[in-house]
Amino acid sequence: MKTAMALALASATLLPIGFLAGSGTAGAAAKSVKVYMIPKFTGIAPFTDAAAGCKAEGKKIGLTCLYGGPTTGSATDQVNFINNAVSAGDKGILISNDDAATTNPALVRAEKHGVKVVTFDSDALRTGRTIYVEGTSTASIATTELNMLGSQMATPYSGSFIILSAQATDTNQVQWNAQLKADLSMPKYSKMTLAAIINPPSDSAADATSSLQAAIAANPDISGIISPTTVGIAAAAQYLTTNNLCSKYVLTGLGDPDQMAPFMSASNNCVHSFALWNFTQEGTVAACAMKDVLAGTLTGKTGQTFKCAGVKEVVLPGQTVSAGAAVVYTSANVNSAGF
Amino acid sequence: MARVRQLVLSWEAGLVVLTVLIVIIGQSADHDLISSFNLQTTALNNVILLCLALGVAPVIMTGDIDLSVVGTLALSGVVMGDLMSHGMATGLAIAIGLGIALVCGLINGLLVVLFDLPALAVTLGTMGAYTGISFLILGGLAITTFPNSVVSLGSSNLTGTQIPFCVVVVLVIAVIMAYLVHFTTWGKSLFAVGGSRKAALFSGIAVNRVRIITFVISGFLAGFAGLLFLGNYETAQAGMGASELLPAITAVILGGVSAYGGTGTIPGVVIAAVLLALLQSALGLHGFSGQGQTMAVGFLLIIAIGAPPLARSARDWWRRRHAGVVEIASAVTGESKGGSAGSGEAVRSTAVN
Repeated sequence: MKTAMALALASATLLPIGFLAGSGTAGAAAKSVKVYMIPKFTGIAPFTDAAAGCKAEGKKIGLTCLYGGPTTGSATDQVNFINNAVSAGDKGILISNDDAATTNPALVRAEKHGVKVVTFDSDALRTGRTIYVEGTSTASIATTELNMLGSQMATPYSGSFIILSAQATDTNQVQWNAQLKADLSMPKYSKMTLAAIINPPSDSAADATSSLQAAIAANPDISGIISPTTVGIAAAAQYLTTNNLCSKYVLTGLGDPDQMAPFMSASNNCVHSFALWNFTQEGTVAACAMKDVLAGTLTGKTGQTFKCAGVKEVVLPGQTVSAGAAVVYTSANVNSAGF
Repeated sequence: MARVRQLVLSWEAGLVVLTVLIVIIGQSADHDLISSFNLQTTALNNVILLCLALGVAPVIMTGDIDLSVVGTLALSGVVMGDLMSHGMATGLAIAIGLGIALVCGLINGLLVVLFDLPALAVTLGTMGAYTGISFLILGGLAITTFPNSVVSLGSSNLTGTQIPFCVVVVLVIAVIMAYLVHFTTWGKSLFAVGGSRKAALFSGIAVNRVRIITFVISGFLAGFAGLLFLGNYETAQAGMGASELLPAITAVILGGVSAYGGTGTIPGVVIAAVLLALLQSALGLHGFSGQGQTMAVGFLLIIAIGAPPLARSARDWWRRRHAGVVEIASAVTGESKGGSAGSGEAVRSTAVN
């Protein structure tokens, strides 16, 4: 029996590793330099777009942009991909960090092996990368969110609201929310009150929905919801639609045009505006930055410049490059977003 | 001779053969699989799940389950990190963190045994509770500076080698666990309890005590995994290590520990962890995305659970086919009592032959 067991087990393992011989990474062009792009997790539009930007720009400037990452948001799983990229001899790593701290030792180790690191979308600690390409600035996101919400409130710029955020450890949202909180002291927003910041236990639509439900019950006086995550705002729009609450709450935040278009149509106008930066552009700028970091001409000094797709990019303090301003989407332009 | 035969045909030997196959195929496909950097980083990134698996294995051997290990890891890791960042002596902070882990395990054990609740439900609940407390302590903050001794434990190498220190530590833990499980009275009781709780009770085994101790050990090793996490990733953060749960349980089951309890070995768990780590690394090196890797591990697990019953049916079929004479004898006696479909078939097949 044990023999048969061992045989069955053998055939099972050979199944996946049998693939090793056949498929896998497509062969890189002769002179192209291999770099590896690691998203927070695969399978959502923003990161697929960033990868498309990196691949398209990479073709023009001699980089082969490989793309792969964990299936769920997990920093320790990202470390596997970092290590694999180093072992496989890739020259650079482009990474959107699930959390800044956990991946950092692995990134530092990669750098010691001569691999260059450029972070995009979500930064690492400064020791773990040369340049950070942010989608857009934290300040721009915070004010855009407040303006979108404030202008839609029954009495403009007056009322109570909640932030339906991401899981508590997500670096980006923590920074944006902190900036937004600080901005509330500005005269323009002084009559707007933040009732609560909600952190669902995970970045899933199901958790966002149940957290929102609980938050609405706990904060009966709110009139607005800001959700600075593509998962959260889509889940919230669905929840408000299903429960006929669209007229009661103003919902806005950061969303994916493809996902949000159904809530901005003639038959369902639950959401009137949301914002996002252009992820394709972010991937493009990240690829350009990587090329110059590999060449040694870009080191992260404030004021350094580099060309990307004909545009001049400037390094801001904190070795940061901004890929562009946040774009506000309304029913007028949501269907023509094109990414 | 029989002993040698038994050894060669064992589950663990099968896992070793597979591991060797993965290394050979992976290495010939990409050449980087057994480079020292890859082996070192792969080991570092899997040592935490092995530590968790070593704790969970005895629990599963008794027919229970402990899902709360990742909650315990997060809670004790966050407490240790928080205390260290407030300037407490490293040793004391570690002792408090491990103490909390012990208590977490004890709470699981008491809830499961004293209130006779299903371990799946209890530890699902405490997983949330322990993780939740870690969020209460740190919120969204992360602690990223630790004493050198902790970082060395988690990520430095044995002097003069490329072998990570923590890997050696966890292998020593594996040896201790193997001794406890396979050479002590408590260890033998595990399998009795896992085989049949009632039978174990009637044969004088202190079933409750055995079960509670497994949960306490599981909690303690989860706390130790938390300490390794601090040193390895230099991060203490609420909910840390959450993604280690499924790989840890996968290693236990693939290692030959029956999901129903009663069987399994510690060496099997260790080899399975090595196998999974190398398989994932080989697939990753070859450019497989996360989905591909997850699917491969999923396939393996299903087959590991499905293999024993499959093997049993294959063996029965084989015996029926080749031991017709014996089957006839039993079929004749069996038929007088009503007979079974299986023995009836044996009669037919011999008649045809």
